[in-house]
Amino acid sequence: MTCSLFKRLVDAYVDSELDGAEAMEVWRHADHCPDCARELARARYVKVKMEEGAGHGLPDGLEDRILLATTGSVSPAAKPEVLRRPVWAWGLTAAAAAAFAIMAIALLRPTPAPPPTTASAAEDSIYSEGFDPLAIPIPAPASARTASFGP
Amino acid sequence: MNINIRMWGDDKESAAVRPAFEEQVRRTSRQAYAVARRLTGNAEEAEDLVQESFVRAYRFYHRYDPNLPFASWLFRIMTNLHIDAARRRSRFRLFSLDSQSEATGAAYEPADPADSPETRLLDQEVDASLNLGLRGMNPEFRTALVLSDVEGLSYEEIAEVMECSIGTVRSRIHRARKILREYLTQSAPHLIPPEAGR
Ligand SMILES: [Zn+2]
Repeated sequence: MTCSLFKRLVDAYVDSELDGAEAMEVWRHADHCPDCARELARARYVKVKMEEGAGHGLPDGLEDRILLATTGSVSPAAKPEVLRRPVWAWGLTAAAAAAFAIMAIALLRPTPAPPPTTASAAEDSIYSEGFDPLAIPIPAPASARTASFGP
Repeated sequence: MNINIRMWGDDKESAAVRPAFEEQVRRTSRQAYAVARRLTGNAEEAEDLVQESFVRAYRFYHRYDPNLPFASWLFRIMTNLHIDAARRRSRFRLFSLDSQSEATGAAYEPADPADSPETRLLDQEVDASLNLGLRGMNPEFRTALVLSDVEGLSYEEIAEVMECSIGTVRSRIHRARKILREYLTQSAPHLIPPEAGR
């Protein structure tokens, strides 16, 4: 195996994506070529650090925000400050709500339900007229080979 | 960012969809965030990307084919969103590692061990350096590498998510990791362990 072939295969090797014979050749080459052995160590190092650094926990409340933005549901745990309110606070809230309701009834005439806003209607049409969220085009591989790195 | 709140009607279909989808959110949000975090390199953009991906997934949940793992389908939505956004951004500014290191030398400054606080961990430095390297590369390379190294997907699974051939996945991952190791070696040689150094 040549050094240039080794360098092309080394990443698939660290990902265990080579077949047995190829993997054996890569392993043998690294065993007697110090330069390629370093390349292998670097490839492994990057992979391990990519894995290690990804251990971020889910930010507080993100799951609740996702649920709210999708199914619209709010889990009880999402509002701990509400759950922890003292009992008398609920009485005040109920009184305020009742007062507000009385005022609202006095002040507001019944109005017909508003038609959908133009924004949301336009938005819905985007989704109904064949827009496919899964089909955002990925450019051909030729144009993908543009990343460059120093000398 | 604007998140559209999708209100399903009170029909039978949505009544069945809601709990199933909520279960999917609970099962996959952590993985999705880990991938998004590496794709975007920061917490705020990662949250936006995850949330927008789930919003789209919910909107099109009726098109989800249960033969495919939900996570794979979600990653497909997420990676398309990410690549699309990266392309739109790059139309306005060309962002390569070359221009980054030449024009804005301050974009990455290896910490001087003498004046850095003791609490600063080497790992955080490596992490920041990896994120910079990832940010400068083509989004397809970055996405393939993140799906492999963060999510542990096989090349075949990545090909399914990215809707390309296994050979393309192999080449994208090779190029991505090559860029990262060269970037680390040049910009932060003190982070490379001796057996892997020059
Ligand atoms: Zn060699």
